[in-house]
Amino acid sequence: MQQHSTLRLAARIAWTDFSLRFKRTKLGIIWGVLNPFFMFMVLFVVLTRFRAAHSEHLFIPSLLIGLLTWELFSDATTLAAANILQKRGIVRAIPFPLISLPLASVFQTTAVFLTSFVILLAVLPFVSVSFHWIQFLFIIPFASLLLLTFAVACFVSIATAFYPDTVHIWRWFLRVGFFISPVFYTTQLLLPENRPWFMLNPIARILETARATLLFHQAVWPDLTLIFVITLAAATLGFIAFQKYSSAIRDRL
Amino acid sequence: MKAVEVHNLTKVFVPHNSWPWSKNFPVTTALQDVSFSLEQGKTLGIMGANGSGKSTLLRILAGILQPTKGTVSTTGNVAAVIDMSACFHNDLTVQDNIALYSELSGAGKVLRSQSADIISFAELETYERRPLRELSRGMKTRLVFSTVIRVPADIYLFDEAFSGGDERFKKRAQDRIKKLQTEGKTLVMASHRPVFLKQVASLGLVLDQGRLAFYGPLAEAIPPYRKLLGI
Repeated sequence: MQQHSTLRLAARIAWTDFSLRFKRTKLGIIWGVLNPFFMFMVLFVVLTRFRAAHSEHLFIPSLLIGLLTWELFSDATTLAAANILQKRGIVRAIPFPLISLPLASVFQTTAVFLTSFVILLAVLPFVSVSFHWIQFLFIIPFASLLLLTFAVACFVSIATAFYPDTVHIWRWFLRVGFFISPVFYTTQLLLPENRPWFMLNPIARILETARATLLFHQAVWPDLTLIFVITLAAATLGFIAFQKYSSAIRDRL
Repeated sequence: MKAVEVHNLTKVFVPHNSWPWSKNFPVTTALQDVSFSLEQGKTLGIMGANGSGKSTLLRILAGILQPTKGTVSTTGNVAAVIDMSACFHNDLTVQDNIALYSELSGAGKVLRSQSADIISFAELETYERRPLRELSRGMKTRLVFSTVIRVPADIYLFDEAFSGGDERFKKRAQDRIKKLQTEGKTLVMASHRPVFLKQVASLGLVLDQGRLAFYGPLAEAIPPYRKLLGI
C-alpha cells in the first residue's frame, strides 16, 4: 500500500470542499472570510444595540464566544456525518485512510472559526476587555474543543455509515445540545444545585474555561487540566473506534 | 515470485439498511471460494457478466475492502482505477484534480512533480486550468489513466480503464501498458471486451456469479466467458 500522510490528505480534502462551496461565485473563497465577518458584525451590532440594561458584565463577548464555539462543534460534526455519505464514491474507489474524512470536517470548520475568532480578538478592547498574558491560555480550551469535536465527528461518522438516518437524528441532538450547553447563558445563571449536572457536559466546561481565560483573565488550572485530559481521552477513543470500524464502513458504503 | 495470492476468498455484503437487532436480513455473496495466484510481471484479464464480482475482486486486491473469509496477499505497492469518475471532481480544474488524487493515492510528492507530464500524456495542455465539467468523457478517461499510471506501484489494477477513450488514445494507452509490462509490473484488468484483453493480457480469469469459472491462458478463457454470456 502507498504511504499516506493523513494530516496532509485531510487538509487537502478540507481545502477542496471549502473551495468547492464557492466555486461558481464571482468572489470565490473571499466569501469564506466575508460570511463569518458579516455574521459576526451583525451579531455584534444587534447585541450591542439591543442588550438588556440589566444584562451581566461582558454578556456580549460571552455570547459571541458561546456561539462561535457551538458553531464549530455543530458544523464539524454535521459535516462529518454528511461527508461519510457524500464521499462514498471515493471511499469505494481508492484505498486511503478513512480517518481523514472526519479530520477534514474539523479542519474545514476550524478555518471558519479562526476567521471569526480573529475578529472577536479585534473587538475585545472595544468591550472593555484589556490584553493579559492569561488570554494565551485560551489555547487549552480551544485544543479541548478540537479534540472533543474530532471525537464526536468520528462516532457520528461511524453511526452514519451504518445507519444513514443518523444525519437527521444528529440535528435533533444538536438542537437539544444547544440549549443544555451554556452557549447563550453562563452557568452562573443556573441554580447552584443544578450546576454540577450541567458541568458534566464537556462543552460547558470548555465554554466556561474559554470565557474565564479570554474575558476574565482567570486560569483555573484544575478545570483546564481536567477538560484537556477528558477530551484527549475522548479523541483517542474516537480514533480507535473509527480505525476499528474502517473496513466495516467501507463495506457498508 | 508471486505478486498476488488469493486463497478461498469469499466476500459477503450485508444490506446497508439492515437494523442492528435484525438477524434475518438477506446477504449478498459477491465472491465465493475464489483462489488463484499471479506471478510478478504477468498481466491478468478478468472477465464476467455484470454483477459477477469483478469490481469486488479488484477492490479487495486494492485493499479497499477486506475479505469476509479467505486470504489475499499482494507484494509491493498497488495503484488502482476502480471507479474512474469517483476520484475526480467535475468542478475542480484538471490541475486541482491531479493534486487531490495525488494525496488520495498516497503518492503526493511524485505525482505533483509529474503534473506537467500527466497533462501532456493526456493531451490536455489547453485545459490545464479549466474545470473537469468542460471536458468530454474521453478527455476525462485520458486524464484518469495518465494520472494513475504515474503512481509508483508494483501492481496496477484497472476496471474498464479505457471505456470512453478514442482509438488514438487506446493505442497510446496500450503502448504505455506494454512499457509497464517490460518494467516487470504486474497488471490486473477487468473488462467486458475480450478483444482488448487479448492484446494486453496473457492470463484470463472468468467469474460467474462470484465463483471462479475459469483461470488459465487468456485465449482459453474467452470461450467459457462467451458461453456464460450466451453469445
